[in-house]
Amino acid sequence: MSHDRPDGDELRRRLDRLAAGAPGSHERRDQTLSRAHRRARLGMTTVGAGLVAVSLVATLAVGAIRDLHRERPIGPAPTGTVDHEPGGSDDTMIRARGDIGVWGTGPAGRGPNLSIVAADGRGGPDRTAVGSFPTDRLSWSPDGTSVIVARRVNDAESTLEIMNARTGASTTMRPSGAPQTPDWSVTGRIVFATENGSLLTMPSGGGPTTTVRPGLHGSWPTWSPDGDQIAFITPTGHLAVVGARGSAPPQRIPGPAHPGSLDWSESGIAVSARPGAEAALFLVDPSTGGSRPLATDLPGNETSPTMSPDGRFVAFLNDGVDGAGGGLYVVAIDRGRPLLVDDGDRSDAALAWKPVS
Amino acid sequence: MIAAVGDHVAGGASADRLGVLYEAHAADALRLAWMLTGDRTVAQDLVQDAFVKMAGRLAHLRHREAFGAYLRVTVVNLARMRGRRLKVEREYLARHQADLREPHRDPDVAATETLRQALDRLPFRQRAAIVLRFFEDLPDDVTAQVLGCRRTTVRSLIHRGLGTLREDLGEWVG
Repeated sequence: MSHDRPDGDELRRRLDRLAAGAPGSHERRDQTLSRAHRRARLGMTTVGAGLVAVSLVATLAVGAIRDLHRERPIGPAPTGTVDHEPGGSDDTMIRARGDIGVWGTGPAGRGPNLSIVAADGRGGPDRTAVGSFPTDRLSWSPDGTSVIVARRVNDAESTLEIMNARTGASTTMRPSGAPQTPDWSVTGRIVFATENGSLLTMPSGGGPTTTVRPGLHGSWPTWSPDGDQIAFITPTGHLAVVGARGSAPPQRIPGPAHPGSLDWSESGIAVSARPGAEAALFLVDPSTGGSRPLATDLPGNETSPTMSPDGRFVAFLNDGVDGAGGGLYVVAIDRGRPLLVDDGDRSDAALAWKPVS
Repeated sequence: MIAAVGDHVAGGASADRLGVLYEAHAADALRLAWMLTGDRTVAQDLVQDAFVKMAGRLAHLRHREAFGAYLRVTVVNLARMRGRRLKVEREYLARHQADLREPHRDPDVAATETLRQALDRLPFRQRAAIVLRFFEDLPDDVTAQVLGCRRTTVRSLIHRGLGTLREDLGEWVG
């Protein structure tokens, strides 16, 4: 295939020569085909299961709708209830209530955007018309009407976008320093990291930025539930907490090694960390520094934790094994097994549990 | 280069189809993954994951003859997500520094190595845009579809990428 581009002929030639150094053949033919065949069979099984599901849904629709009405409270309520495993098992399953915002892969022809997934797993994702670009983190306004995300403009610039989750109406803020991974506090302030690792806050309605503490660097800044403190990951890969006004030095929190992302609720700080080969979830008590793994018994990496408003549940992503089993899960922090609430392709998604309004 | 639309496999039993698709596309996908990452092991991983992903979607492809084009998009997306995720998890630097410098067969080792190092320094989207245009030889509108952006953005990425390469490598870049 050739195109009318007189420039770049030498670059083309040298890239071809560079490509001659690429691996000559894929060394994992048998392993790849074995996984691919399993994945293809799973896909066909899914299609078959979908057809069965259609008939089941038709049969059970009335009962399911009745259940939804009975189990979904209106207004603020605890975000969990004890439920029984489908199929009559005696195992208890803790089903969460509420909605989880998922900023991820969009429909064909569009960039990643916002969809809403029911935390109880009953109902598919409700896709909104909000967004069409990738982002690393999603955060809700305290009233649950809007979200804030960072949007990359080019390799040196980014903006903060506050978007109405229903209409998509957006407000763009352009603090300097290429803002990223913003988090919205109950007090109405936004905290974000800059490209060079500084931590800044600003009012959600716009206004001047404030450096949390001069010389302080970190990533993934996260508000405490009361908006008085900020947890973050230090440049050396540790958890730390600093007062929102930065008047005192940050306190390092003993916790899992190599944290990657976190969320903070009344129950503690949920952390995705990679102490070994795979990323796993931990719950850290910021007052004592104690931490414990959130045992999900799932293979694969567990990332992007977001906690329910009452802190009783954690939603997270799992990338599965061999292309199967991945998706969005919800697990109670104290007991029960994780519930797969959406098995879509979530490999690039950002999650945030919607506040109860 | 990954085969263009309609090049391979218009039919065949499903049991054999994956094998045929693999033979037809794996080598080209591997070269693209390697050009995007510069890392032999990662490229092998990306191609395996991309192929498995595509296998899961095979039954749902609207245009099965376009498998190669879909695979290309999947490879680029996985390479991009790898970069983003590693950056978020603050592992990128460690991995990047650990990149294996593969011995290559080019007689002009110094020039080739210099080009590879210059590509390594480019942000991912600039690198991808350069590779897709000058190595995969894709027109801007197809590159825009692969990268999920507008044609003007592709041109901007290429312009900036070429500018950086020119600073590193000289005016021959074009």
